[in-house]
Amino acid sequence: MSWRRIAYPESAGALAATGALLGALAVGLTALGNPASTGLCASCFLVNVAGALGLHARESQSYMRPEILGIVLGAFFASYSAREFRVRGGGSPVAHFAGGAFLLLGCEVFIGCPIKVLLRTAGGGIAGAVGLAGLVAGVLTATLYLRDGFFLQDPKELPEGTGFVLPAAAFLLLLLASGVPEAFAAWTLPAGAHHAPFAASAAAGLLFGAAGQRSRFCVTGSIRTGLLARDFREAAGTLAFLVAALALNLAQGAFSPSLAFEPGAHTDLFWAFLALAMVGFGAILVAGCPFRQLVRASSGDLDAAAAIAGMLLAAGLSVRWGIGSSPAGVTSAGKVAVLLGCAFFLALAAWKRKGE
Amino acid sequence: MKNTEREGILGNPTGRRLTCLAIVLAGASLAGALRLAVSGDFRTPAQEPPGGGAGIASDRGGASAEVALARNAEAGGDVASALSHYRAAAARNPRIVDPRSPEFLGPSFEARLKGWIRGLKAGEVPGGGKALSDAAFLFRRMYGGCG
Repeated sequence: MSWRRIAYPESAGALAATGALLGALAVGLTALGNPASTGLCASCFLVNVAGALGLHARESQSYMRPEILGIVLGAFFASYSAREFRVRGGGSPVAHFAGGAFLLLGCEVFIGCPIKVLLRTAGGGIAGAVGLAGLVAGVLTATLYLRDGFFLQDPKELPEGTGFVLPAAAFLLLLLASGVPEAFAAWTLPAGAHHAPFAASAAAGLLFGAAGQRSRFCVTGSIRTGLLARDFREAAGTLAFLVAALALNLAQGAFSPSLAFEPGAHTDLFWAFLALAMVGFGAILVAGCPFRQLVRASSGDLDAAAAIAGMLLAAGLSVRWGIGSSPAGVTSAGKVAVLLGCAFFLALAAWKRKGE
Repeated sequence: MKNTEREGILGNPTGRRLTCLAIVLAGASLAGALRLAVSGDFRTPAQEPPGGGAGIASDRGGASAEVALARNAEAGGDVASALSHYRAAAARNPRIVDPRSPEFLGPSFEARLKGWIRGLKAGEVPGGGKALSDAAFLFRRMYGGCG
């Protein structure tokens, strides 16, 4: 394979290879110490980062995740070196901020972002598979709105300097987390979150970010593109991610089809479906799932950075207000959050149907 | 993202009907939220049962009492009752089934739980569906999650 095909993956084969690499990396991080089915989960990791920054006080969900910081830096370096780092914003920052917040809350009610949906499904989780069905249903519904003319206002070009803020912050946090980890709340086991070794997580995060930026890896986006344009190259990447994770789980004996015994999951299938349907719907409207928003923000998209800010705020509130689910089930606050999220995204879709 | 010029596999745009659908669904969602808020089923985080959500505070005293009851039942050979009390304890203080925590019930408990699950599935341990459900809850609590 030539260097150009690696740096600019466009064929289904190259995108599938990238997806398989990301899936294998995610399973590898789980084997190294991350929680089950949580080798890569943007929403869980953002909740951990929010805890480390003191936005909530639940120690077992607090850790300055080097994966997140690595994703930001990896995507930044990849976009900059490919001359795709372009600072723009002001398109619809409020919609992105609120949308990002609801995306995060939906993920927390389900317990996982769209990437973790794939990992939970690859582990045999039935609730994970139901969530995946909800995600596809949500994307399908949103795609109907795209077909009908939905789009958010185009962003404007902005001075390049403003785009460096997020990567610079990630770099400083990575330095602090590696050198002075006690600067963050619940930075260590046994109190903090389960995690793989710091260096391995940071290296994997850099790869996630760089590969994600080059391949445009996005679970919801790949479904949208397939439905909208009959272009299934991105879907090949998503499918390869799932197949690679499934194959490695089978090889490790970690595949166990189950509803009641799915680690860290709840068994409320209705809310698993609805929460992920809301996430799929919203992710298409604001142009990306949590992982994709991180990559876009790191490539200079300040509207995506607004979505990240919304997600971080929601991550703190999710724990403080008891919105996030647990193996015991879905809370009342979680159900309200999902319903409000549905209402918000549907109203946004109706409002911007012709790009008003 | 702007509307694509290509047809794709979804057919033609669906026009104003989508707007009506959105308004109806948004209204239904809001109505559902309001209904949940005013019904007796709504619980604030402080009113959630112990262990009910990711951010619910723990009740260490209640958990210790449940663990003591579970150990008594276990000593008496009543696995189903023991699992029920262990579940109640984990709901009050999830850390007792968190292998990272100093409050963890220990590797021997983990091994016994796995043995009970095998036995319940095989029908070798009496207890039925309720006991298996309690064991499953403890298993889900012990592994995975967001942290």
